[in-house]
Amino acid sequence: MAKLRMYIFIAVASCTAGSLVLSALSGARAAECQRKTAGFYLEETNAGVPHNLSSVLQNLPGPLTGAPGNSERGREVLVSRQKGDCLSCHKVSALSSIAGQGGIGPALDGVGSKYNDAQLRQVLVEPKTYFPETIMPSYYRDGGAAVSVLTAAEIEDLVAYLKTLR
Amino acid sequence: MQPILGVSFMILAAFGSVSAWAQTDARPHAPAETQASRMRLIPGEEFLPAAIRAQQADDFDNPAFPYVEAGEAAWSRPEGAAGKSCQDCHGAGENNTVRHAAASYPKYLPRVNQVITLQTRINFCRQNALQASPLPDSSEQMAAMTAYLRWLSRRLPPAVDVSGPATATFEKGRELYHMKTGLLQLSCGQCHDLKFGQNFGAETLSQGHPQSYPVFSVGERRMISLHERFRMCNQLTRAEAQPVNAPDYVALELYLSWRGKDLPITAPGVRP
Repeated sequence: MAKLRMYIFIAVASCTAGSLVLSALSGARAAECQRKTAGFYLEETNAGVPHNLSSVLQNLPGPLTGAPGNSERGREVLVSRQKGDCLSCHKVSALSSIAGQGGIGPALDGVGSKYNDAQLRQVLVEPKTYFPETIMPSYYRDGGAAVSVLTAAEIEDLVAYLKTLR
Repeated sequence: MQPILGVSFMILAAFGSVSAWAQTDARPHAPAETQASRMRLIPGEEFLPAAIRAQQADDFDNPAFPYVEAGEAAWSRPEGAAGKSCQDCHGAGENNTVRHAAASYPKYLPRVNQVITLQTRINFCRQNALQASPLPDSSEQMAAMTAYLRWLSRRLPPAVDVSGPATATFEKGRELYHMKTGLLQLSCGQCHDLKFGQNFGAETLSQGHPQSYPVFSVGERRMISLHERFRMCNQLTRAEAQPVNAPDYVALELYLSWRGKDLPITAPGVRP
């Protein structure tokens, strides 16, 4: 509950500060702010993403395939609606020419320098290890296409691409 | 002068937030028995792009309205071997005895001992009273008849009965709403209770209320029923979509109608 109040306070503070500085908010942004301050929903901001994922927690140090991934293919996995479809929930500034990037999860800018391969791999395979409250699905499971969103090779390609986001 | 200006700004800002809170308080809560009982109910329209929202609000501009008119015409037009129209049994206009019936569906029908949708009810009448062929669930005529009947219930809250023989279906709907499905293992509630207002791709997640259905999809240039919308959600979570009127979808529709029972019906809606 205390955490909840804090989020509301932050939303109120950032909106009012914004309106003081700019004093001419566009109608849409003002409405957006009003919705946030009214507590209709609490948006998790990108600032909340930890810079150092606990090394105590499990991570996946070795490649799932025994071979390093390819970042070019990883970019395709990230963008493709049928594969990772990561942009439906995450923004990537490096891909800003692609329209319709969502905002449910944090932006992926800089994840390549914040996290090492093992941590990125672990987040893709089981994000709840690091973020227990997340609704982000697990993208890899043993058992083939019937249960796994991506293949082991696609996970490695994705890790390779995410490492380029610095 | 500067500090005074600053203080007055702060007072203004504080007043702004207070009035925003007051506005929140005017909104109905989700029913106490839901997992998200502290959630305020927000109509789907509020999550739409402004242009689409304006289109829905203006009956002359609303592309679903020709369907309402077609439905109204079909209501009084005799069809089938019995040579009767809907009007012959139910009346028309102000004398239409079932003009607010759409708000009470999905509804338990003793004769078939199950909860049925408005679409199923329409086909029931067609086959029994009119002795006409049933309308395919995704046909233009079905879209017209449901758009017309739901429009007649506009501004009324959903009046579904989830007690007695409908209880089992209702509880199944509640369970389905919170059940993780598909390759992505997401439940309806994870997006629509927890993440509404946030952007999924180019669209903003709503709370998943059924009030404006059936809707006209601007992108697809056709009417979309609630169950077709369920199918789209299933596809997004990479689950196996079920056919329109599948028992799971009927149960889910009943649960959602009950969950949003304090929001008035706004059909027919417009969606991107």
